[in-house]
Amino acid sequence: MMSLGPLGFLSPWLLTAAIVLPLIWWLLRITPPSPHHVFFPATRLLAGINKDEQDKAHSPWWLTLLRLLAAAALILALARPVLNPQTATLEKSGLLVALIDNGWASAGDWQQRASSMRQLLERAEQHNNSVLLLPTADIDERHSLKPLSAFKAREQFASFTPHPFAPDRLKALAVLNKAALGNQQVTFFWLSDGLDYGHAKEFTTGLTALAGNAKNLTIMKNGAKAITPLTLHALVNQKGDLQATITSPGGISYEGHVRALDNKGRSVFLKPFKLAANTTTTEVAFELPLELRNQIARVEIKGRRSASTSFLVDGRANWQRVGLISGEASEQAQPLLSPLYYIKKALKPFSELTEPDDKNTAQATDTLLSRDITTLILAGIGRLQSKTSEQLQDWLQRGGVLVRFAGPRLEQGGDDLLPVPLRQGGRALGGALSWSKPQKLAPFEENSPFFGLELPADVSVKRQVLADPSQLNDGVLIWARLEDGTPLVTARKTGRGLLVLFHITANSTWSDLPHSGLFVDMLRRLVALSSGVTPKTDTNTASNNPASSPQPGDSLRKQAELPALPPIRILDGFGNFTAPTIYTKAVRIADLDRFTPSKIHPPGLYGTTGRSRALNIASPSLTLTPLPAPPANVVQENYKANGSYPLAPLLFTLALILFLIDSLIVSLMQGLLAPTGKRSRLRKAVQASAILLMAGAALIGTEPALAAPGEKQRSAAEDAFALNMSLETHLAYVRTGRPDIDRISRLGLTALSKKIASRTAFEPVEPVGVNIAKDELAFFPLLYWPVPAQPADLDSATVARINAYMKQGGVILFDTQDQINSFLPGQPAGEPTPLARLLARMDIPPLEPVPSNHVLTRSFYLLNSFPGRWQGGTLWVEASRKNTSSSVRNSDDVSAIIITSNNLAAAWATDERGRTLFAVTPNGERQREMSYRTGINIVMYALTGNYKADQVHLPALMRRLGQ
Amino acid sequence: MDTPANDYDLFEHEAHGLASAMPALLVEAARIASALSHGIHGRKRHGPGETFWQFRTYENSDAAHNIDWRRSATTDRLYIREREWEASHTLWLWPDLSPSMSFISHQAKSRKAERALVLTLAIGELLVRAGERIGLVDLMPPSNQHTAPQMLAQNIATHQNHESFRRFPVSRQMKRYSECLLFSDFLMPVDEITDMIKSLSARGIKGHLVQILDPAEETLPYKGRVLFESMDGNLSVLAGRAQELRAEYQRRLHLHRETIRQTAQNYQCSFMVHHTDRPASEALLALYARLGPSLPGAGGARLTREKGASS
Repeated sequence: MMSLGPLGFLSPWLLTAAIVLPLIWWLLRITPPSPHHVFFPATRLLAGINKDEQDKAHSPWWLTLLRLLAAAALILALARPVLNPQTATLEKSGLLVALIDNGWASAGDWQQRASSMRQLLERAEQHNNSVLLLPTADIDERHSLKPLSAFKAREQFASFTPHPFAPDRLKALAVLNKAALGNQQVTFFWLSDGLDYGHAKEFTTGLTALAGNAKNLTIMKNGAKAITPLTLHALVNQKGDLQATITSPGGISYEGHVRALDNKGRSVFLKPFKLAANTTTTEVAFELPLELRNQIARVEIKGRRSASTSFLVDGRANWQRVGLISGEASEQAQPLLSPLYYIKKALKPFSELTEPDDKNTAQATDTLLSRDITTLILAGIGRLQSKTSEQLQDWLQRGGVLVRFAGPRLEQGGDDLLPVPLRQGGRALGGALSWSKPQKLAPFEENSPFFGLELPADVSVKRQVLADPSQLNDGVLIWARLEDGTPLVTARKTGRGLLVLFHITANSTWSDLPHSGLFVDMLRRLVALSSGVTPKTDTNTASNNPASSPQPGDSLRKQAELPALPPIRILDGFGNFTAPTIYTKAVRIADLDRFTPSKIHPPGLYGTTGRSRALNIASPSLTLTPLPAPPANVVQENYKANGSYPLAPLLFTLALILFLIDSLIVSLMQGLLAPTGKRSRLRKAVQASAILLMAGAALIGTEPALAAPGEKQRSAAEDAFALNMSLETHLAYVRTGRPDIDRISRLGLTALSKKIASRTAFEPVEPVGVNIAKDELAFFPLLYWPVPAQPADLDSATVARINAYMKQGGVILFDTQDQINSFLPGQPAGEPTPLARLLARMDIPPLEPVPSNHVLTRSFYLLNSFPGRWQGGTLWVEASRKNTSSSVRNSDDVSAIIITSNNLAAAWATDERGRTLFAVTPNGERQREMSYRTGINIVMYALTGNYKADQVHLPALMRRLGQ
Repeated sequence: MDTPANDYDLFEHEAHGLASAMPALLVEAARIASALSHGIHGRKRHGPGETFWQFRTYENSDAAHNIDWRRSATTDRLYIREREWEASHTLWLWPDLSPSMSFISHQAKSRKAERALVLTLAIGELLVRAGERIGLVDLMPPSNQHTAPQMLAQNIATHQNHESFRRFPVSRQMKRYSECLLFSDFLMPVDEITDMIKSLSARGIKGHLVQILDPAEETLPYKGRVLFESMDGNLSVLAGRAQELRAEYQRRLHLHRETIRQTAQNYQCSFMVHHTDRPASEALLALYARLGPSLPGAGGARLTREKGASS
C-alpha cells in the first residue's frame, strides 16, 4: 500500500512498469503507419523513383502521445489506485473479525458501509487474512463461526442487506465469546451504525476484552458528513392533523422534505423540515382536508431509503365507517324532514355510510356492529332495548363513538345510554307564550373538539332537551353551549369509546344548525375522533358456558385466544415493501403497540387487507442516543464521506477509449483521408462506424443486444416482410423449388399484374414468390400454385396453414399445367395425378367444373372458356353451396380453390420488353388475350367475391323500381 | 449477387457487368456513330461497282454481256462499259481488356475498358455504315453486313476473357492493306509497343493507336504514404510521400508517350490520346477525322451531319 495524498495504490510495484513508457515512445516513433493501398496501372513507371523521405513516414506526435497516454492509463489501472483509502492496519495472515451493524440505522448510508467493508476485505485478501463476518442484526446461535478466506467472505458479504430492526450486539458478543478463536493473531473491526441501543458500552468493553490489546480493535463511526440515522413517526394530533415527528441522535443539522404517499405510492403532500443541531426532534404537521388525510398510507423523508424513515399509516387514521339508524319512518315520504338527511349530506363525501334496511332498531344495530363501524349515529331514538343497550355499551368500551340526536321521544327521559341524564320535558324558546328568544350558540371552549370552528350568525336553537343540572359532574364533557350556558352537545368517555349527545334534532325542526356549514364541520370532527374499534373479545364462550367455572389462568387464556394478525407486507431495510419472509410471524393485536420490531416481527402491515394495522420502527417514546466514547487506545475511524473509491475500472475504461480513438484515427488516416474510389471510401466509413458502434456497445454493455440475435433478426425480418406485403397488394405464387417453373410463374404474374393495372382499378405491385412452408400467407388474396410433375411433400403444419388460409378467405389457384398431356396418347389411367397427391392431405371441399352461370364467367369480362397456354382443360371450382356443407367454405361464397390445367402462367409470361415467351395453341394471340381475361376474372373474383353474383337479382330490382 | 472472392474474380465479375452493360454500350455507340456519316469510296480504278468509270474497246476475253450496246451502236466498234471499283476496306478492331484497363479513379466517369469498348463498338458501327468491313482478330472474320456491329458486340461479350484481348494483335489473318485500330492504355514496356508497330508495318498494315488514360494516370493525384500496386499485383512500389513522385512520374509518362508517338509516326501509324473524364464522342470524332483521309479512294471522308447530307 502506497499513498499519495488522497490517492493510494494497492499494487504499487506495478508502477515500475512505467519505465517502459520511453521504450514504447521510441518504438511508436520508428514504426510507421501502414500505407494506403492503391491499385495503379502505371506502377511500372513509378518504380525506381527514389524520393522516399522516410522521416515523414512517422506517426504524428499527437498520435504517439495518445498511445502513450493509453499505455500509461493501463499501467496505472493495473497498480489498482484507490481514492481515499482506509488507513487502519491489518496484520499479516491473521484472523479478521468484522462485525457490521446491519440494523435499521445502517440503511441510510449502506453504500458507504458496504464500500468500506469491501475495501477492508480486499485488504484482508492481500494480507492473506482469514475472515469471520458477523452481522449484528440477524445473528443467532447457529451462525457459522468458521473463518472464511477473504474471497469467500466477499461473496458472503454480498448477501448482507440492512434489516428493518435494531441490531442485537450483545447476542453477537455472546456468539463471539463462545467461538474458540484460538491463539492466532486476531484483529477486530466493528462497522458501527453510530447508535447506542442501550448496551453499546457493554459491547465495546466485551470486544476490547476479546481483542486483548485495545489496538486490535477498530471502530468505524459516522463521520461529520455521513448520513446520520433518522427516524420518522407520524400521529394524528389533537387538531386532527397528521403530524410527523423526526428524531435524530442529535449533533447534526438536517434539512429535508417530509412526503406523504397514498397507498398507490402517489405523493399527496410534501413539506420541508429543518432539524437543528442542538435539538433531537422536530415536528411537521400536515394541514390537509380529511379526505386527503385519509388517503395517506405512508409518510417518509424524501430521498432517504430506510425503514426507519418510512412510517406506515394504518386504519386508525383512516377512512371512517359510519352507521346510521333513525327512529322515524318518514324518510321516503318527506326526505327533507328525515332526521338522517342532513347527516348523510354532511358525512357522505369523506366517510362510508352504512344504513340498514331493517326498521327494527335492535336488528339494525346488530347488523351495523357486525359491519365493523367506528361511529354510530342514532337520530330520534328515545329508548333502546336493554339488550341492544348492552351491546352498544360493549362496543363503546372497545372504542366506538356513539352520537345520538335528541327528538320528541327523548324528551320523555330516554334511557341510560346518554352522557348525562335528561330532565323530563324539553325546553322551548321563543314560542308565543314565552319571553325568551331563540338562543344562539356560544363560542366553543378550548377543550371541545369543535374549538376553532367559526359560528355562523344565523344559527339559532328553538327547542332542546335539557341535561339534569344536578347530574353534570366531571365525567360529563360539555362540548357546545348555548349563549345562556345550557349544554347543547354533551359527551362522556366510555372505556376507549365516546358517547356524544346533541340536545337537538338532526333535522331542522328544533334548530337551524343542520342547515349550516358548522353542522358539517362538527360531524366531521366527531367522526374523526374514533380511533378504531378493537375486535370483540370472545366473552360469549365464558358466559354461554356456565359449566366451565372461571379459573385463575382464564384471562391469560383469553389473551392467547385473541386473533393474531398475519403479516401482509413487510418493509425491508430500505423501506420497500416485500413479501413476508419465512421468519415472519403473526402478531397479536394487543402486543402491537408494545412491540419493537424484530426478526420475527419486522415492521410492516399486519392483519387483513383493508383492515390492516401497521408496525413501525419509530414510536413516540423512541429516542436515539449516539455511541458513547470508546475506551482509550481503541482505534477510531470515520466512514469517508464520499467513501473510498477504486479508480482501476475508470482507468481501464479510459485506456479502452483511448485505444478506440487511436484505431479510429488510424483507419481514418488510411482510408478516409486519401483519395480513392467512392466504394472503398464507403467501405472504410462503414468500418469506422462499426468500430464506433463496438466501442459504444463495449461501454454501455448492451448485453440484451447480444442475447439471441438470431431470434430478433428473424422477427425483424418477419416484420419487414409483413410490412412490405401488407402496405400494397401483391399477387403471389408458390415457389415450387424448380427454377424454370418459378421463373415462368413470376413472369406470368408480372405480366398479368401489368394488364390488371392498365385495365382495372386494381393496381397490384410486383408479384411475390412465397415459401409455402414458412411465409405468412395472410397478406395475399390469391395464390398461384403451379403443380409440377413431382410436387414436394408438405408437412402437416404446412397443410394446416394452407387449410387455415383457405378458411380465412384466401383463394388458391392450382395449375397442373398438364393439359398438353391430354393430347398425348398412352397416358396411364389409374395412377394418381400429382395434384391428387398434393390435395390428398388438404381439407378440400367437393369440386365441380365451372357452371356457365358462375361468377367467374363475369367477374370482369364475360367469358365462356378459360384458356391458358392450352385450351380445353376444365376449370374446377368448389361445388356450389346447396350441394355441400363443407368446413372450407367462406361466408362470401367464394371458392377457396380453383384448379386449371391450362398453364395460365405460360400464356401470360412476357420478358422484360413485353415479348411473349411461349406460343399458345391452338388459337394464337386471341387465345392469349382470353387467357389474360381469365386471369383478370380470377383475380377480380378473389378480390370482390360474389359481388357480381348479385346481378342475378337485377331483374327483380328493376321491376321493383317500376322500370 | 456473389461478391468477388479475389482479384481475378473481381475482374471477371466486372467483365460480367461490362457484358450486361453491352446493350447500353451498343446504344451509346450507335448514338455517337449516327452523328457522323461516310460514303463508299471508289478505288479510282475499274472493277466491280455502281458508278460509271470508262468505256473501253471490246477484247476477246470479255464477256458478251458486258458490252454496252447503246455506246457500241453509235460507232462500228464494240465498247465495254467499265465501272469504278468500289471495294470496301478492312479494318481490324482491338480493344485492350487486360486487368490494367479495368482501372478507374475517383476523377473518372468510366473504366478505361468500358471506354475502349464504347469506342470499338461505335467506330465499328460507323465503319459498317460506311460500307467498310470490320473484324476482330482471331474471333470474327471481316464483315460489312449490317449485323456486323451486333456480331462484334456478341463476340466481345462472349469472349471477353479471350487471350486475344490481353495481347497485341499479331494474327496471320490480317492481310496487307488492311488497317488496325488499337484501343489501349499503352502502359506496357515501350519495347513491346515498338515491336508491335514494327510488325504491323512490316506486314503492310496501318495502325491507329488510341491511348485511353484515366485522368489519375496523368496527374497522380495521391498524397501521403501510399503503396502502389500494379493491376495484376506483380509489382508494387511504396511511396513515402506520393506527391513527391508526381513531377518525375509525369516526366516519365511524357517520355513514354513521346517514344510511342515518334515510333508510330516513323512507321506511318497514327497515335492519339483520350482521357476517360472526357466524352467518348470527342475521341470518336477525332479518330474518325484521322481515319477519313487515310481511307483510299474518295479523297477523304466527308464529315457531314447525316441530316445535312440528306437535305
